[in-house]
Amino acid sequence: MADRNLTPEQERHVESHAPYLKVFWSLLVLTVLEYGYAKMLEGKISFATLVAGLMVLAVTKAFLVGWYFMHLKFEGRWIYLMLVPVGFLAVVVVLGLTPDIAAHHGGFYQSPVVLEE
Amino acid sequence: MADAATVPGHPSTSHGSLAKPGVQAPPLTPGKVAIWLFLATEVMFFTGLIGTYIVLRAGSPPAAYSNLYSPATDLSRILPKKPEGLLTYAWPKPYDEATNPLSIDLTAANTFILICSSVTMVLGLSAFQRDQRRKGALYITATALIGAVFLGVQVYEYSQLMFVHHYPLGVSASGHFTPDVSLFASCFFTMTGFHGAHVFAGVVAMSLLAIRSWFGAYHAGNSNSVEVVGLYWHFVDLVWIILFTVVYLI
Repeated sequence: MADRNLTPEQERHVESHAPYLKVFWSLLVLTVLEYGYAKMLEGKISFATLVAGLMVLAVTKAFLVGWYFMHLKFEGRWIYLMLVPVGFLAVVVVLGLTPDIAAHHGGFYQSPVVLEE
Repeated sequence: MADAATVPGHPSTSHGSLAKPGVQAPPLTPGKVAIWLFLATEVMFFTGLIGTYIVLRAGSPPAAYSNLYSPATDLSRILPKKPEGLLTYAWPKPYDEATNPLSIDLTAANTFILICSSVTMVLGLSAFQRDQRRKGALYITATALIGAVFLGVQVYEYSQLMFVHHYPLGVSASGHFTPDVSLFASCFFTMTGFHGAHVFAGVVAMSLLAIRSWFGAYHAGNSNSVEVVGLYWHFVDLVWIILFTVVYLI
């Protein structure tokens, strides 16, 4: 919807509101879905399915915030020169920490407590 | 209709380097590059926190938490065999009052509050870019206030956990959920505490923006500061979306 007495440039600004509000409602719906998914299905589905579903919803929300609110959609390619290496390093950090999970069970620490039935 | 590839607020500029073909990219200002570099370091910071949380959680012994004994009790030493009614977990389960004191309902509402603040932030920037100074000032002030409400709810949550409520033995030996009672507690307070500190910094920056905006500092020709603080604010919102899922819901 365009205001009166606006230049075409300003008109585009006005219209730039529309996606923001749509994104807001999408975020709201996704938050409610996430809350309901976790509350209703906790204990009724496998842990892996629960985690996968919740992470899909969370990443979708994060993507919407980054893509629209942080204007990634509109930025030049320069932004990816920064984001791609950071994303790569973030994955490396997590993968680099992963062996520590095995260390917990492998002997550096006490064996996990398992009670006999 | 606006061209989908047109940048809100920067319709006639295309001098950002490495712009996509046929797309009018927003101007590449030093402030914007600086804030994105800063956000890159923040990504690594929170990745370290969340990655460590995953490692600690995945490596937690299978009976580290139970409904009858305090966290990290070595049950194999004090119990010859598993008694009836004893439920053990490697990590506290959401919605399980015997081991997990976190209020998901309250935090879900708080998540909604933070999302609202991101919307008012982006609408404020849009208003300044259209030279609607009063409207922009109102949105930025609203963002600062909503951010303060988020912090207030987090302080309330902390006070309930640490001082007010008395929790069962499965949550804490002392009855209060303080950072020292379990690995789960220390992870929770570390991650949400650092995020809360970021929100606090954002509220301070937003308050300064709000004060200046009421004096007409920001308009169509000068909204870079609003954009830079806005990027930080949206990033804090984005991190919370992930933290809420990882810490509270899973």
